[in-house]
Amino acid sequence: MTGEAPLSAFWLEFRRNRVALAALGVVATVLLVALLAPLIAPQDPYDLSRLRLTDARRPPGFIGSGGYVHWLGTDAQGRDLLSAILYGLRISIQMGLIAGAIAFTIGATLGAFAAFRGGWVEALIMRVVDLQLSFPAILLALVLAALLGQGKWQLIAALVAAQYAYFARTAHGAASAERAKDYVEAALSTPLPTPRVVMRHILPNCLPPLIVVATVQVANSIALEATLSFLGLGLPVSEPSLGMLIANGFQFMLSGRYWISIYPGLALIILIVAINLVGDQIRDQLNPRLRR
Amino acid sequence: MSPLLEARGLTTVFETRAGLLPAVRDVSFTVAAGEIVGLVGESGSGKSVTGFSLLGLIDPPGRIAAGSVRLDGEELIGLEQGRLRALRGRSIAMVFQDPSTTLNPLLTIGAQMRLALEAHGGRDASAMRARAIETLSQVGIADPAARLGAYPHQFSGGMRQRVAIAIALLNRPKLIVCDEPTTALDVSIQAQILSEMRDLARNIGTAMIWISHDLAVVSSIASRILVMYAGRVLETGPTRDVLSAPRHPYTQGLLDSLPAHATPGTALRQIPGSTPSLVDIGPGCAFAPRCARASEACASDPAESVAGNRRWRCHHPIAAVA
Amino acid sequence: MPGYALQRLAQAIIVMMVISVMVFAGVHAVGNPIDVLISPDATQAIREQAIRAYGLDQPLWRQYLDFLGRLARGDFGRSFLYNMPVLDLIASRLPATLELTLAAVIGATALGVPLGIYAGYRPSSILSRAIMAASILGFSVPTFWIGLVLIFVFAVNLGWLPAGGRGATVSVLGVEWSFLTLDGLRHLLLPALNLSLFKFAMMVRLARAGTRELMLTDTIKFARAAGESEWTILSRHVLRLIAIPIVTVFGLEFGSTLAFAVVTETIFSWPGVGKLIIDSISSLDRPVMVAYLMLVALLFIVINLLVDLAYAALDPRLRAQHA
Repeated sequence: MTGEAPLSAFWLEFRRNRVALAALGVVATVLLVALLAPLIAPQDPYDLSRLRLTDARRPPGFIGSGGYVHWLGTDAQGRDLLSAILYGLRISIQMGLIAGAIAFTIGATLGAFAAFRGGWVEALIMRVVDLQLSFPAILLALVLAALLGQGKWQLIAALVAAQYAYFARTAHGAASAERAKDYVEAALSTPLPTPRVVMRHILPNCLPPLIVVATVQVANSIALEATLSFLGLGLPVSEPSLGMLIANGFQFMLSGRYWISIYPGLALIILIVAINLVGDQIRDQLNPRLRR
Repeated sequence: MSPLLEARGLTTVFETRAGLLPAVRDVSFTVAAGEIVGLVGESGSGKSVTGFSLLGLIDPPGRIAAGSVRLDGEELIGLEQGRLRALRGRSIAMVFQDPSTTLNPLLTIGAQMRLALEAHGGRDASAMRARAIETLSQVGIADPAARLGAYPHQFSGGMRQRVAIAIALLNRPKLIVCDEPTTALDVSIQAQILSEMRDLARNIGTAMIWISHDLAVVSSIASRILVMYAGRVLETGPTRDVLSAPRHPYTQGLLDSLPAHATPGTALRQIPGSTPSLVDIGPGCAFAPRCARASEACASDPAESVAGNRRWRCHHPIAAVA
Repeated sequence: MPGYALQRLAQAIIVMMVISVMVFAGVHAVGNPIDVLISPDATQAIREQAIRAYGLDQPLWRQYLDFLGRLARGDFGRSFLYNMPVLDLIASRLPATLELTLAAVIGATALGVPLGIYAGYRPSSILSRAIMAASILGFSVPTFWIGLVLIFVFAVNLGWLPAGGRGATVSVLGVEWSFLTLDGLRHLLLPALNLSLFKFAMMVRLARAGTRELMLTDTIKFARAAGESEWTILSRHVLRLIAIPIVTVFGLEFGSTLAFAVVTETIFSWPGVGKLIIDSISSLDRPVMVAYLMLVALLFIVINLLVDLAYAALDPRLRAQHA
């Protein structure tokens, strides 16, 4: 699974699915745009001194006091919605990636550890993981967000708690399968310390399924974060993610000012759908049962 | 009298990523009413695909590319799906290799038999039940009335295959294609079912195509055999004649590898090499690379030779025993 | 069979105990509800009286035991916020949530399974591709945003359906139900649709994957060889064979749909337990939080138990094992 050749073969096969390729392009573009937000956004949405209430709740295409076109309209504070979305994407993606990375690390380690330790430790860990998997992620995140209070790291903790179990389950499954193979038995019987065997031989072989889970879970993290922010249990107002932008626009929806909620939502969906499409293709390619 | 089944130039291909795979190439044969014809070949020789082609049960990416199959004079290739469905089970039925995967594990065998009867106009519940009991006892299932309510997992492998055979018999088909129905079973049960099926075919007058990789099995039941290799029929003729004096070197190789033909204490003879990949099969004789008698002539396709009721395709056939 | 059921019951009780400890400890780990309950300028005497009244002066383990004892008597305590017994409070809100969740899950299954079977049966047809595209959207698009769009399109723009509330209800056996009146149905439609989309996508995928695999099996080929019609094959064999994974997911998803009702209820102002838990979280109304979490856990365990029993009913092989 390492080395140049399998990777380029993987890419060649990936390239053949045009939908997945387009989705990958979208993901890359969104990432780039979010990264460059301060450079390309027409306005710094956090600079309150620039906001004019006379510009508030204007429809798309309105030319405000800044003298430039608000392509996606403005929100209740007179903020340029396009700028707010670009900055919001930054925050949403950041949250998704950080939470995903931490959940990956904790979950994969726990799962692989359980598979190698065996016995009651394995039974206990996997029991807890299973229990958590059957418990809806949103409830867990909801309770944790409520208990820990508001803030970036509290929210990340809630997201991690809601997602690590998926990684643990996957890593455990893959590691158990690897553990049973002869080469691992052989490696374990050498004087090499077990953690090194795990790092050197097991983890690389568990990576493909974990990567699939990771893609899906980053998308899920972003969606979950948006949901929590929408419910008012997410990030503080000073860091408006896409979910909060949508929530802020909700009250104006009933009076027909759809753009304040709809456009941030569209940005969110484009990102999530694109990530999921890429994840689907990777999963299909890694699934031996679907190969001909 | 015209034969019950007549296949002419049957060709079935599979479209794979590696290219077009001709699983069955230009296969022609006939089956007379009540006759048991054996179809023998190694795995990958196209014998099962031939069987499925007869019933029009080739799933994409496979398709029947050319040829004709006439059953009772009616052309089956290109036949409208509804009519083909009506013929399946009623005129031509099929039994598969592994009885543990063919029966639906969640339905009682009574329910499965009823579905097969309803497919061909069965309406009256008590009549269907009586017919189910009758066929179950025909295939040697004890206490059939009580067994109707049982699930497949409650039967042994051999009994399960008998149930599958009973389902194939339900609508009194004229021809049953048996695709290695005894291969997955214990040897003792295999022999038992073989002899039962032979008697059954004789008693109810059903014709059979018996597909197997095992020449011994086929020769014990079939009156005529077809030897297939790489999608082609290499030799065909009455079983006794083919076994006693094969004309094709491949048939000879199959015979030599039978334990019954070996001198005790010596190793069994094997055909060297392995079956070719069908994707890059050339125009010549497919068996040539493994054949001791091969020459340059074998690079071209051998025409079919006919002598009496025997046919073979070989440039260097084994001489007929005088 | 009874032995198996008893064993499952014992397991369920143990899991409930563990969850009760976790819930209790978790809920009590942070925040001081007294700060929320009593204004900061209340006298010390009033504060202490309140603390005693709510049993908050006891050590945690003591509070937990009291809590367990009260649970055994069916007493979940009083809501700090509503000043009424939690059980009554939840009982008054639960029917609305159950009604919404059931409508969503049943709708998603009734529609998703046939469409999924079709998509698995004819994977390359245009309709199948459209079904799969819809399911990808249903999976990816966050529930709350779809809710907003539904309100905008059907309530604000077209004005066909109400944007929120439960509408007229009918009392049956002392419980209020919306689905029995036309007005209630109109109110139920959008939130149920909103809540069902994710489950719909899941049912479609599950049914499609199961059907695709089944169509290649000998079971289906054998049924075809016997001359059974495609309709018989799909309705009698395929549906029956994919029912087991679908029942599992139906059960598990019922629980998670119940949880996701939180979002839908918030958007559509649906007066169920979801809105109640959001309110109780933001006001640290501990008894309500505890009761809600215990209720969800209990529902999960009951559903799991039912799923296991349904397994046995659907799969004769399992029936034999447990007999």
